[in-house]
Amino acid sequence: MSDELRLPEKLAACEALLAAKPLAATGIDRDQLLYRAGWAAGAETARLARGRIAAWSFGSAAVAASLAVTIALQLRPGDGRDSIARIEDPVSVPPPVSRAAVEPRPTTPPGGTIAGRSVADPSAIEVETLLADFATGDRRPLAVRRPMRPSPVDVTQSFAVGDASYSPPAAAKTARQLLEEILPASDADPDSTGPLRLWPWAGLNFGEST
Amino acid sequence: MPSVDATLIAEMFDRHAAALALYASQWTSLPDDCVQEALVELARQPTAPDNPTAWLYRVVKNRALNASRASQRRATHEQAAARKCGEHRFIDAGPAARAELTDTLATLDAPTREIVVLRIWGGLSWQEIADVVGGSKSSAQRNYVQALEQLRQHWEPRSCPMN
Repeated sequence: MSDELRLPEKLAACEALLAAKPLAATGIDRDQLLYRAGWAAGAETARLARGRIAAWSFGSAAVAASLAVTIALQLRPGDGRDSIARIEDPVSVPPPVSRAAVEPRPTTPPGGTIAGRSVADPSAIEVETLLADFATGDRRPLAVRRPMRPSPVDVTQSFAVGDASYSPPAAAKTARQLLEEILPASDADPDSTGPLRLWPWAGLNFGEST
Repeated sequence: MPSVDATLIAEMFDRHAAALALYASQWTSLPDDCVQEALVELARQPTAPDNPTAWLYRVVKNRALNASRASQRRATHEQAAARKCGEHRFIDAGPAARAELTDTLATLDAPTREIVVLRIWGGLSWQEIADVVGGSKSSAQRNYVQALEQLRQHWEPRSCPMN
């Protein structure tokens, strides 16, 4: 059927009669209705505006917080790894050593001199001190002079790294034998009254039978 | 989409308020309240509906049905006089001028009466009537023709029902 319904004549007359009947007026106050409608429209608009403002505020706060975190991370002094103190082994265990020549680190002996006598060679002072200690029984293990990789500064160790060109002797020797190898034959005389001998213990026996 | 302004509300009220009240009187004894609430609801819309008239009739029908259910619940407890859904008569506490028309329409069953009110006093198209009452446009037209036939037969003995 089309939108325009074709009615029979009698039905069209009834339709016309019904349409002609006036409708009773409503009890609605027109002015009050328009006032209420205006209030409702304004309240709805304000509600939508509050929602938009809240959304914008939340978005702005989120952006500001993310920027603050980013800036704080950029300005942070170094990363965590730098703050970690590098704990170096203060005591580097030297490799196994044999009884070889010793080259102690130059140190100032107690009292500043050796037996009241000044020594020209500072390294000799250390040797003298070491051997004196050795004679008195302070037989500390001695580091061998052999080529070694540079190690960190060791403040607790008493001996420095030796000469890389030194080659240890083939067999273990006594201290006397070492002295004889190092010193000239004239210096080996314990009764010599010449210049100061660097090895005052020349007359001492270190376990060698006479 | 044009916005809903005071001009539209005033126009809808002037042209359709009485027909909307007659339409709502099929289900509730307080049709004016339903019409007023429907017009206020129209003012709350951010944009005007495509067909404000059809929109108003749908809203008025929904509110009238809700009011009818609430009224039935009250009547069950208070035993007050209220209109029951599905009865073939109006419960219209409005002005006396409306009583004659409601008595005439009371001879029709509820779905048919609804279509007659929408077509004659609401001025809705057949497609809009089908959207409001549910169903197809052809079924709405068929029911309308049947309603007119019932009214003619009801008036036939009197030959001039409006005298």
